[in-house]
Amino acid sequence: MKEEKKLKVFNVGTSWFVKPLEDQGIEHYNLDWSPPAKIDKDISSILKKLGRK
Amino acid sequence: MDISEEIEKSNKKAFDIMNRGKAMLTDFDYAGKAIPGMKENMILHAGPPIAYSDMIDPMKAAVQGALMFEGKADSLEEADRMARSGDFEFKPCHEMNAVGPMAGITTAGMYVAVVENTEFGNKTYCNLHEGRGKILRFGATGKEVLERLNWMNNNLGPALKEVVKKKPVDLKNIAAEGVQMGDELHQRYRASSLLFLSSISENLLELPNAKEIFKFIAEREQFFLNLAMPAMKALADPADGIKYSTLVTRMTRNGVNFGIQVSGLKGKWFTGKVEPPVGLFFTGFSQKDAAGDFGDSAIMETLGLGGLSSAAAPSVTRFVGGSVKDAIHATELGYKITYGQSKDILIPAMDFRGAPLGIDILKVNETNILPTINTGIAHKQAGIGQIGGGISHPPLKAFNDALREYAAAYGL
Repeated sequence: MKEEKKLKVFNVGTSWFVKPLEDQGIEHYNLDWSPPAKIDKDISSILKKLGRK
Repeated sequence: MDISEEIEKSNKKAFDIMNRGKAMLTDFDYAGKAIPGMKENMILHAGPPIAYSDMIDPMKAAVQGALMFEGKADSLEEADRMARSGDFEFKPCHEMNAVGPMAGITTAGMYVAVVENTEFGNKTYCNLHEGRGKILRFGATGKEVLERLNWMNNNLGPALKEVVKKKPVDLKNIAAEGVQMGDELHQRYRASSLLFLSSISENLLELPNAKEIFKFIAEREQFFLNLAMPAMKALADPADGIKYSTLVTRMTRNGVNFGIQVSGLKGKWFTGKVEPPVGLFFTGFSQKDAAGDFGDSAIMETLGLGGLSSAAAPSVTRFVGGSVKDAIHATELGYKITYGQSKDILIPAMDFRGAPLGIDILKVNETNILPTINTGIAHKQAGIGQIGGGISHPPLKAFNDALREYAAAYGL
């Protein structure tokens, strides 16, 4: 008999996929992540001076 | 205190002011009487500053219609010549403590709503809601448009003046209730318009012309638009001019440019080109017919409503061409670029989180997430009116330029 493995899901990015996992009682972890924004050099430099990014 | 601490302190202050304010509808009167500094030869328009010759056709036509309404011109051609003559001063509504949807054209002889932020003592103004279809704010100027405006000036405005003088209306409270009932307060105002009508009905029904006033309001499901806009402006204005604050106090568009203003950079416009909104079109129209986005109604998003509260109004998602998930996503994105959440305007579908409040140019610049604006789509040709509904976004350039100016102003 095949052993049934418990599913664990690691979701990266959009949280839309989390709700169905929750609904099905599947163990999951969600990382709220999006690709880094493409930022102009001078904007990036200003943000750095403000201790951001 | 280093500049990061100064920014945090000032943003908290600006956010608390926006959050704490009250917006009471206290009066209706002629713009020339109500708005401080309003002149006979002044024409207020939506969006950042723009010359008459540069306006899109629907806005130009609305100017011409307004000059005919004021009795200054007998024809559109004559009005056009007058508008080009240099005898009239064109000003953004926002620079006169006012707002106007779509073209936003407001002249001295038009009735306006007067909203008072009783917490901070400032007042704001907005012209009256005409309805949908052939209306001045979309650039329609026919006989029926001018007749309706005259009726509104002679009947609707004075009646509402009498009603709110007896009992001012708490507009923020209605907005909060409306969001609980499925309005996001840019595209959908069905619940809040009825709540407004209900709130004035006791005193309205005492008037001799109550039936026609009641019918006019009841037939216009977006009637609350022209009250919610000055209400949100009344909440935003006291948060303007706070040194170091990076929160946005104004977002608006004139059909050519989208403009924003930032609290710590008082009075300066940062602009970028508007694009036509994208969405769904009424039968017979398509994207190629759409005008560039225009109107001061993005003041709703500035205060966290409309597109930023999309999750509150699942029924709107079909009208603007998206899904309920898209609506929730737009609100989730809103939380990523705002300072905090409204304490009074709560969104049921987000587990009663407050609406995202206090758009921060620092967060927009570091994420490139732009606020979603829910908007009507106007035909690019004057007089045809609304041809659909959809969403638009401000140009990133406006937020980039604001940050560059901020760095220069504060010596970064």
